[in-house]
Amino acid sequence: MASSIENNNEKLTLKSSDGEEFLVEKHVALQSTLLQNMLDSDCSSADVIPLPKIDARTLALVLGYCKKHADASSSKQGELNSFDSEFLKDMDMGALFNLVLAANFMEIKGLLDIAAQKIADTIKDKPHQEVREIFHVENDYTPEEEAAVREENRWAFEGFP
Amino acid sequence: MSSRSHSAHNSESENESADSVDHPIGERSIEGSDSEPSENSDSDRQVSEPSENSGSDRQLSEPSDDPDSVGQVSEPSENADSDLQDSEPSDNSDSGCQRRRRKPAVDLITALPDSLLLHVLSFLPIEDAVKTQVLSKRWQYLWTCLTSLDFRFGDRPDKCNSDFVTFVDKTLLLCNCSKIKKLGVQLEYHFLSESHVNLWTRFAAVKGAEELQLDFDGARDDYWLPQLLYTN
Repeated sequence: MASSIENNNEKLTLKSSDGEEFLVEKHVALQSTLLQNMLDSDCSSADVIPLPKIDARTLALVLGYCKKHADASSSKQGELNSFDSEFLKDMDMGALFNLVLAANFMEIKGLLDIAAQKIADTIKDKPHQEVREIFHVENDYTPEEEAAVREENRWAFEGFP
Repeated sequence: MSSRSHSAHNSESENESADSVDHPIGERSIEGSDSEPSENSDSDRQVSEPSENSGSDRQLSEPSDDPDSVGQVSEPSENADSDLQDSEPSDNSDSGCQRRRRKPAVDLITALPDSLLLHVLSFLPIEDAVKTQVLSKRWQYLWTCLTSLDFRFGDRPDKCNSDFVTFVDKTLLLCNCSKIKKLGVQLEYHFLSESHVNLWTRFAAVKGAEELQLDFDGARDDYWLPQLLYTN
């Protein structure tokens, strides 16, 4: 991806929703397809690119991920994998959700996938009540409706597996 | 063609696959239709907005929420962060009460648009994804939009093969996508399941699956793909 850039030392400024500015090397920013498209279509003439949906804390995390992945050579896949798992380790759910939203918005597929995987791992094998608590999902079924859903789908709940 | 492990590609859909595979998540519509051209980034931006808003609106309008449960949330600052529309930086001195006023109910995963929730579900084993329908009404039909269906019987001496076959049948019956990416089934094939497997392969063909993967390792009986598949 980086090979298409003429000048790797170019920098651009990203502005978070809460007004913090981040100076980013262009090859790092290009990890984001959104930014890449903006740069390709010359929308980048503005001095500062605003990212109105991403707060500074999340943007800092996103850019940390992008920098690591932009700087690592492809031969260091193992190193990147361990970076990825460390990156999300101990991350709280709020930060993780913001990260998923930011990765989706900025179109950073690798980050989107590892964050979604992490959320899925959290749901997996947990009883529903626990999942609801973890994610603060409000159960809007009435007890009768919930029983009906379970009953109608007994094949999923009591059959396999 | 008597093999125990097939991996067939539906040639009809193969030329489409190049277009569809790389769609960003945001562009994947709930119906699973990927006919939308992917070009400008605006379309991605839109996606995360509507359901995000509707999610929080729904929360705001819920009078039944127990206020104490919100106050008990152990990580208040993350909850604040979860609301992307809130442009204020999270403030550590902020009390739970103030935060509750701004964000009356905390439903972290509801803040994610359906397209992203589906992406999360796609990383779950299918049986876990199917079971999420009991979480809340929003989740009831979410899983039916999964475009990659991978059923694995696995190594389960305690489980009945016919229960698994029924599980696959019923899951496919409720699949709500006009087009799927993948259908994969791994089981110990038995000739009694032949009519079911035939239907699954036809399901994959009808849904324009880019990948059909049948893994019948260890099966006692051979399985032949229906001739119908080749005439597509």
